[in-house]
Formats: sequence, structure tokens, C-alpha cells
Amino acid sequence: MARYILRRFLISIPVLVGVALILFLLLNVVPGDPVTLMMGEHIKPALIEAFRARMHLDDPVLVRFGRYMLGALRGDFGVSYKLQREVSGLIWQAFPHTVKLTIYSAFVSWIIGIPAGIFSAVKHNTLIDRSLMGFSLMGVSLPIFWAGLLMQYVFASRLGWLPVTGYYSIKYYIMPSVVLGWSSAGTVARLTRSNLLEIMKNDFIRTARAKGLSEPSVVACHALKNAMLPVITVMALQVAGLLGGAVMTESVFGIPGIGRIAVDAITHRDMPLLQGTILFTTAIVIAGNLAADIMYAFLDPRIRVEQANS
Amino acid sequence: MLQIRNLKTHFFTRGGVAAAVDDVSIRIPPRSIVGVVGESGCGKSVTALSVLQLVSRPGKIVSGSILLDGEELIGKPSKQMRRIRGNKISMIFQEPMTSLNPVYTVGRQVAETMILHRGASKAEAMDRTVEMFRAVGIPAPEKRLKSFPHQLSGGLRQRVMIAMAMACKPSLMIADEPTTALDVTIEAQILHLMKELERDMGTSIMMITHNMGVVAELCDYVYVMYAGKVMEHAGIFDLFDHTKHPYTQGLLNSIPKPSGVRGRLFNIEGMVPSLLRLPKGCRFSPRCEQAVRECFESEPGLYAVSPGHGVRCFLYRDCGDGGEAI
Amino acid sequence: MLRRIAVFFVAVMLALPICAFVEEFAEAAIAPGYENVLRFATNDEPNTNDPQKTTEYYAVNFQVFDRLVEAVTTGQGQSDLVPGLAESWEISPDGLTYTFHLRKGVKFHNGAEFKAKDVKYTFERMLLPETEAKNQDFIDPIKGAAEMMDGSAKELSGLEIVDDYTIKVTLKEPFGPFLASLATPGVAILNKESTEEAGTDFGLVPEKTIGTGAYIFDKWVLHDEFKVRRNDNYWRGAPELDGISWKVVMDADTMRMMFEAGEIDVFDTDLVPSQISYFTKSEKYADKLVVGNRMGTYYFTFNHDIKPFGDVRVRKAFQMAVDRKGMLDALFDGRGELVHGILPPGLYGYNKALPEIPYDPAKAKALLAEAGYPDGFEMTLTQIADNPSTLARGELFQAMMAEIGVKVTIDQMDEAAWYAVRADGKLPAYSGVWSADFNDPDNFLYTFFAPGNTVRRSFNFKNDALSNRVAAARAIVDPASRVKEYQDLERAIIQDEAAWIPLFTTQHIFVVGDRVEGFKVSWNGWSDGWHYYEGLRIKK
Repeated sequence: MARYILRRFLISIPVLVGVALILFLLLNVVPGDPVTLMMGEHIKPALIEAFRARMHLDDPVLVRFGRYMLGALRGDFGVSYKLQREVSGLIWQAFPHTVKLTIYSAFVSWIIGIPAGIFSAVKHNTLIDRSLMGFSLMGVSLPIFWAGLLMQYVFASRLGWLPVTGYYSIKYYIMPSVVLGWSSAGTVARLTRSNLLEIMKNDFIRTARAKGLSEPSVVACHALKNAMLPVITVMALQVAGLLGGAVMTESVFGIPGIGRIAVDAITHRDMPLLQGTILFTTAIVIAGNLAADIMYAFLDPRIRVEQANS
Repeated sequence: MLQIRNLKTHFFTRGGVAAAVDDVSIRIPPRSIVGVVGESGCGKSVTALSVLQLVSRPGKIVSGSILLDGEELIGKPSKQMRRIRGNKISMIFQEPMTSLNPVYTVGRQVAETMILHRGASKAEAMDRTVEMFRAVGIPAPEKRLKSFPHQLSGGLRQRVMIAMAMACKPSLMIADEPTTALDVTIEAQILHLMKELERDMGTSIMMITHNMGVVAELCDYVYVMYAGKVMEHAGIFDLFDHTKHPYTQGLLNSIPKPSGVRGRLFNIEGMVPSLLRLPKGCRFSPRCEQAVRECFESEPGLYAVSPGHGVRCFLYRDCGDGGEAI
Repeated sequence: MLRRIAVFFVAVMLALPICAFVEEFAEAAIAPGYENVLRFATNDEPNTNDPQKTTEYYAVNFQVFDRLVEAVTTGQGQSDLVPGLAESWEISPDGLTYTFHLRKGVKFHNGAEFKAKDVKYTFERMLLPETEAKNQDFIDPIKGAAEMMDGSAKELSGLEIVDDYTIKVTLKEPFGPFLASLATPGVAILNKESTEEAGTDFGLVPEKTIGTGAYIFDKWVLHDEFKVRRNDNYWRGAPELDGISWKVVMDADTMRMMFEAGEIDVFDTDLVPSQISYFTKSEKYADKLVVGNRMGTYYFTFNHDIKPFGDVRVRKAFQMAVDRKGMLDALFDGRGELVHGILPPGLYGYNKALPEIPYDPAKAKALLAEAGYPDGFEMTLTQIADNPSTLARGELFQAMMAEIGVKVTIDQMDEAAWYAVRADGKLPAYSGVWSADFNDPDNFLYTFFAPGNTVRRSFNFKNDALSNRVAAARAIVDPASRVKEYQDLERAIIQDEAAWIPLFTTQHIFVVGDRVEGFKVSWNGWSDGWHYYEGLRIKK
């Protein structure tokens, strides 16, 4: 098992470096000089030159990439053009907020998605099934910023139940988590439903019934664990989707997380910051995949044993 | 002990109503092994599932009566029915791989039944499971408790299934083609085991199979089903020595003989009719070599050729009605 | 069993947030600590609050620092320069030497007393190349500034400390707008010791960002909020407010909803022009609007090097063909004033008497015919891509020019390329808005029409005599003759030569919440204001 994890971990390193390189090259061919942009209208050529020299912006791309990667190994991702602070510090500051939002949202998506999926499967092809599926799929189709603004309008502006923006306590996280969680609840629900339906056709479900287990027990004890295996993998992969969604959600609800930083970095062509946030997010997504694989291996005895034997 | 009377289980499909079990009566006395034989689709499995009230949609028990020790099972509240399943009546299935839940250890799956019905603690149940494993001949039972189904061979899995079925010492075990998926030597071992269990524990067995060889080896009494109806029922010796129904004769002819030519398993001409489009008259008539005009026009009843031997065929009409095995 | 567990689980799930609610709704609607704080929203994070290193974010700087001289609005369309940290000053008759008498007893937030060395430090820090300051322009007329900027001098030769409370500043050559320059937020006075000690943290870390201002930099949570709190020892007297906060909100609609939910007190429509009509058209907000003149002029340019714009008749025809009133109505709901020259109302030296440029497409067409274009011609208007408000202006222009037979093509360019082409003097035409950096006509006329600048901004204005006079006007010392010269130049360049098409100046509209009393728009050259004046308070 440990070797399996280690192997998976080592494979992700070249992936990360590859992403970094592609990103570096892409950001370098984007038209528009970030320095001119950053310095605004009044700026003197001498200042721009000094800045370019300090940032080594005139070296060849690969040299800069090498320097960047060396720095990155030491945890130094450069200094944000705009905010004039260490990128790594900025990311570490923002990360907890994103983690919080992601966890709450994942929670919401499971709270909505899993029961919806289970009910739909148990009552499948009934009106309940269709309305539950419709409800959870709606979240997937609604653009986050739109749903977010709508919720702000209804619950904050009109009803005054919740604050419009902020992140100071759980109350502030309700709307963003619901919007973001809802957006991925559909996937969870659909997957839970189809897996469960598939599992319920299995012989061992008949065995469980023949044992005298009640229907809820059959579903909960015998079907769910099997059905949840792929769902759990998706949950971990969901992290990627939620991080993506966090960009919009954080911007709408004023949560100073990674997504928010990334939007700011894009707006201001803050290359070091943008690079840092994307790399960091990539690392998280890779870690999510890794976690999914490991979790799957732990939960499914068939894989677990295979790994132990190899 | 178990009495099925005039059971009708129908499937309400889009194409129409299929009478999978059509007026079937079966009697299983205590301490006996009763075979239910027929080709696939003859209604034998549905009969078994009807006993446990596990027929799933679109199937539904339409009428009839199922008495377990004089207690009516049909229409029993599901909560009470659950107390019977796995406890008084248990069931094992054809494919031991898929019949066990892949994500739990076999020990846990067997113990679950005892925890459920006997209110045993987890430790007690595990101890009992070890006993049961030993009883069904699983080697190194303590070690096997922690195995997952995929780690066991097919024969061992079926032994686990039997252990599970016997865990609560049921009065009836329904075995639905328990050896079909196994190879011949393992099959023999499992059949032997079942016979032993019946003898040692006094559990009656309802043996559902399409294999006349299995019937010959195991059963005391046999029901032959065809397209939802019982065609012939008799004690094992009567059935083999005084085979009456042309269908039963066909089935018996299809047993591979040790000396003989290896023929197809079933050498009855024609196909099992669709339950949605049953022929008028006797269901077997289109395939029957001895059919007369009457056979195509009206349905025969069960005629008693001797005590305890009923045949649904006009050839034996003279023997008089009352062939139901009650 | 399972059912019971499920029920328990659901109950806990529901109870948790409900408990959190009950706890939180017991609180006041205003977050604790903000009862007497004026709450703003902003849609962009400041890059720094170091006044020397930013050219756009002054929200905190205004409150935390003071300047030697302050610009204040004295009435509608009027403004003045008043003493700040410099209590008084004398200017030598040749306009070269400024002697500043510094205010005594002023304390920085760290308790240090403000002295002449702090002024010297502030100016020298700005000019040293390693600072990478962006606001050097405002003090580079001082003698020795150039040497400091090119690294050949470490001290500013034109600045002499006479004693702790007196400094003498000598200019390289006379520069009329010098005092006005000193009033810009970029030239805020820093404390030598604490700023040196703060190093790169200055402007970023609140407690290390020390000034003499009415408020103390209190906190800065990136992408969330920054805040200042009252300076009880402020030399002008402590402000009534406990502090001022700015919430960083990216989305315009979110910002509006926060205002409507009472989460912010002042809504600055400048940040989100898309919300202006929502507020101006609503009865509910009619008496909540606080309006000030924008110290800026909207304009269209043309490149005099490109035919037919070398012909003054064509330029005049264009001036008359633009329905500026219609444009102001369409784009800004009519809120603003037409400008007929270059200086916006409210700027020092603004000429009320400047004749109106009429909207007269018939006459414009006649002028075009006279210049040899009876059927019009084709031209290109450039703009930076993805800028909807510029595009809206361009499209109105396009339609109006079509009336006199001129076909306008709008060319959207990448930002960096656009700036580069403009600096080469090659952009055919563009539209823009120029807002005052400091309160002086020089900031407008010199920027566009001084020799060199007229090329860099793609005018290529050919009347060298007028251009040279624009440069020479900087040296005029007598205020009255300066104003007269600028007004003459304005009339000659814009009305006689028709060098550009002036449009209008707009209003800076704030929507003010119920809690706030006495909110005023401060001098409007800057997008951020100085919130220290009589009567500004939160209602109890």
C-alpha cells in the first residue's frame, strides 16, 4: 500500500512540472506587457527598465522558467506584481478560506446529492425521482454568479436573513456553500442514483433480502457501500470542480480565497500571482486525484488486497 | 410443513400479463428434500421467491395460499415476513460469487443473519459462524472469517452461502440451482453436504434445479414444472421408475448417461412457449409427441395415477381427478 | 436503529446552523466595532498604501497622511489651496525659491514630532531610483531632482533645512503649479525613522505605515477589507468618526445589494457606473444622492498629421457635429456640464466666460464642403479592447459623424499596443477622459499641448507658437497673469485651432445611507476623498 501511494505520488511530480512549464509558456505569449500595464499612464521608461531588470524579465523564457522552478522548490514563488508581497504568503493566507468554502460546499453537495440520489433510486421512475433529479440537475445548469446574485437578492437584499458578503462566521458561508455545493450536487445525485440502481440489481441484494433484512437496511448496509465507491472517487475529483467554482463564488460573495486571488491576478495580469495560484490549484487537484485513488483502494477490498499482494 | 396452494404469481408487463406461476400447489413435508424441476422460465424460481414474498415489480402474487406450519405467509405484514426470511426459511442462489456482497467479509455476512434473528452479540455470532463454517466443511474457519468473497473459490463461496442459510437452523432452505455454476466434483461435494445437513439438522430443502441428475441424487419427492404449471409430481422412485408425463420422460431422456452417447441436455423438440402467448389447451402440446386433438383444445387437470403421484396429462384421465399433492 | 440514527443525524444537521443563527441574530445589524465607522466599498484592492508607489489608490493615504498644502473645494466650481503641514510659505519674486514654515507640535502616529528632516526624507525617498516611486513628476522641478533620479546624487541639493521648522526649496526653473503639486496625495509627508525601519513593509503593514493624518491605518485584510481608526491626537482635532472602512467587493450588483442591505454606508457610483441609473432613477434615493463635479474632461482627439485633420475647418466641423448634450444624456443620464475648452468647472483657472461651441450639423456639413469634402470621408477611431464605456461613446460618435457623411470605423486594440502606438504619435483618433492630478490648468494644457506631449498623445498639434507658450506659462509667478495666460491659451488652442473636441465633465455621485450625516464630496481631481471635515458623522 505504501509503495502504491509512493508510486502514485512520484508520478504526479512530472505532471506538476509539465503544467508549470505549459503555464509559463502560455503566460508568456499572452499579448500585452504586464509591466506597462502595471505602471499605468504616468510612468517613465526608466522605471519600467529598472523593474524589468529587477524581475529578470528580459532573460530567455527557459532561463526564467528554470529560475522559477528552483525558487518554487524552496517554496519561493516570486513576488506579486500588484500586491508586492510574496506569492506563497498570499496563497497560504487565502487557502484556508477556500478550504472552508470547498468543505462546506462539498458537504452541501453530499447532503443534497446523496439522499436525492438514494431516494431517486429507491423510488425510481416516479414523480419523486424526476423532481429530485430535476432539482439537483438545476444546480449544475445554473451559472454560479447568477444563482449567487439571485440568492443575494432574495435572502440578503429582500428578506434580510443573511449577509450579502463576507466570511466571518458560518452564517456568511451559507449562501456561497449552497450555491457552490448545489452546482455539484447534481453530479453526486446522478451518480449515486445510477450506481445504486445498478447495485440493486445484484444477486447479493437478493441474498440480503432473503436474510430478512428490511429494505432500508438492504439499501443502507448492502447497496450503499458498493454504490458509494465510485461516488467517493467522484467526491475527491469534485474538489477540482469545486475549486473551479470557488473562483466565481468567492468573487460574488467576497471571500478572500484562492479563486478570488486568481481573478484579481488575471485582471491585473499579475503573472507571478496567477502562476502561483494555478500551480497551487493544480497541485491540489492532483492531490485530490491521489486521495481518490487511495480512498478507493482502502474502501474496495478487491483493490486493497490486490495492492497488498503486489 | 410448507404448503403452497393454488399459487398464482403474475408479471404485469407492457406486453401483457404473464402467469409465471399459474395455480401451483407444492407440499414440502418436514425432514425432506423436495425437488422442483423444469427448464428455465418454467416458474420454479418465481415460486421460490413467492414463498419468501420477494417477488419484485412488476411481479405480484395474485392469489393462492402459502402456509408455513399452518401460518399463512401471503399478505403477512412485511415486518413479520422479515422475521421468517433467513430465520425459518432461508435461501441460497445459483451464482455464489455475485450472491455475496463483495465489500464485506464472509464472516460478517454470515454473522449478520444471526445478529438479526437471534439477537446475538457480534462476538457470539462470530463464534457461531466459525461453527457453521466447520459444519459446512470450510477449512481453517477462523481464518476464513476475515476473507472477502473474491478471495474464495466457487465451492467455498457456496459453502459460505449454505452456512449463511443454515445459520439460524431454518425449518426450510430453498436452494435455487445451488450447483449450476460449479464443476462436477464440487457439485457432488455440495450435494453431499446438503444431504448431510438435512439429516443432521432436520431442515427441509426445496431444491430448485433443471438437472434431473441432481434430483436423482438428492430428492425424496419431485415436482416437474412447465410454463408455470406443475406437470407431474411424485416420489423419487415413482418418478424415475413410473414416469408418466411425456415432458418428464423428455427430461429424463436428456440426462447424460455414463455409457451413452453425449447428447444435448434437453432433447425435447421445440421451444418453451412465451408466457404471454400460451397455446390453447395443454401447454406442452406443441412439443408433445403423444399429443392428440383434445390436447390442443382444452387444458388437462392433474390426475392421480397412484397415491402421491399426480400427472397433468389427458393420457391419464381415466385415473380420475385429485392429483393435487395435498 | 438505522432510522433512528438517520433522524438524529438530520436533526443535528438542522440544529447546527439554527443555533448559529440564533446566536448571530441576537447581534446588532451593524457588526460590532463598526457602530461609529463610515463604511465604504471599493471594487479593487490597493496595490499599496505607500503614497509614493501608487498612482491610483489614495483612499487610505488621504486619511493617514497630511500634505504640506491641501486642496479643498470651497464652493460649486471653486477650489483653493490651504495650509497643511506647512503653516505658511513665501515665494521669491523670481518664482524659484519657496520657503515653508512648518507647523509646530504635530505628532506622527508613533508619537514622533514632525520636523523638517521628515520633509527632506520624504522628497529624497521619492527621487531615489531604488524606491521605484511613481510620483516623482510632482517634485521633479526641484533643483537637483534630476541628479537624484539618475543616481548621481544621494541628496536633494534644492532642499535646505533652515531649522527644524523651516525648509527652503529651490526650483530648477520657475514652475507655477508647484504648490498645487505638493497638494497631491502622492506627496504626502512620511516619518523618516519609522518609514526607514518599515522598509518594504511600508504601505503594506498597517502598524508600520505611519503618518500624521486624522486617522491611523488600522487593518488590511487582503481581498476583504481595509480600515483606519480615529487619531485622537490629530493636530486639527480628532474626527468624530471612530474610523472608516473599505470593503473590497468585486461585483457591481453585489456592492449595490450590500448598500441596500445596510452593510455599507456610502456607495460610490464612480466605481460601478452600471449602477448609476438604478439610483438616479429611483425616487427612494432622490434625497440620498451627494453629487460633486468630476474634475475631468471627456474628449475626442484627432491626429493633425493625418489628412484631412490638418485642416482647421474639418476640426471645427467635427466640434460642431458632435451632439455633446445628447451624449451626456445618453451616457450619464444628463448629469454633468458641457465643456467648451479644456479645463473642467471647479479646476483652478476655469473660465466661465468661454463661448459655447454650438451643436450645428448643418454648419458642420457646410464647413466640410468648404474644406473639399462635400461627401465626407472615412476615418478610424481607436480604443483599447474590452472597454464597454469607451465603445459606447465611440458608437455615439460614429452615428453623429454619419450625419455629416463621415464614415467612422472603430478599431479595438490591445492595451499595450494602443499605448505604444499613441506614444509614437500615430493613433488616428481616440476618446478619453482626463482628470486632474493636481489643481492647476497646467496639468491639462501641458499634458496635451506642450511640445513633445502633443506628439506622445497623438495630436501632432502644429501651432508651435502656442505649444511653446504652454511650456513657458509654467514659469509665470503672478497668479493673476498665470490664470489669464492659461485662459487665453485655452481659447486659442481649443476654440480657434479646434485642436480637440471637448465633450463634458461628469458628476461624481455618491449614494449615502441613512446612518450618515453631512457627507460631502471632497475635491474631485482624485477618485478618493479626504473624509475630514465639519459635520461628517454617523447618526446615533
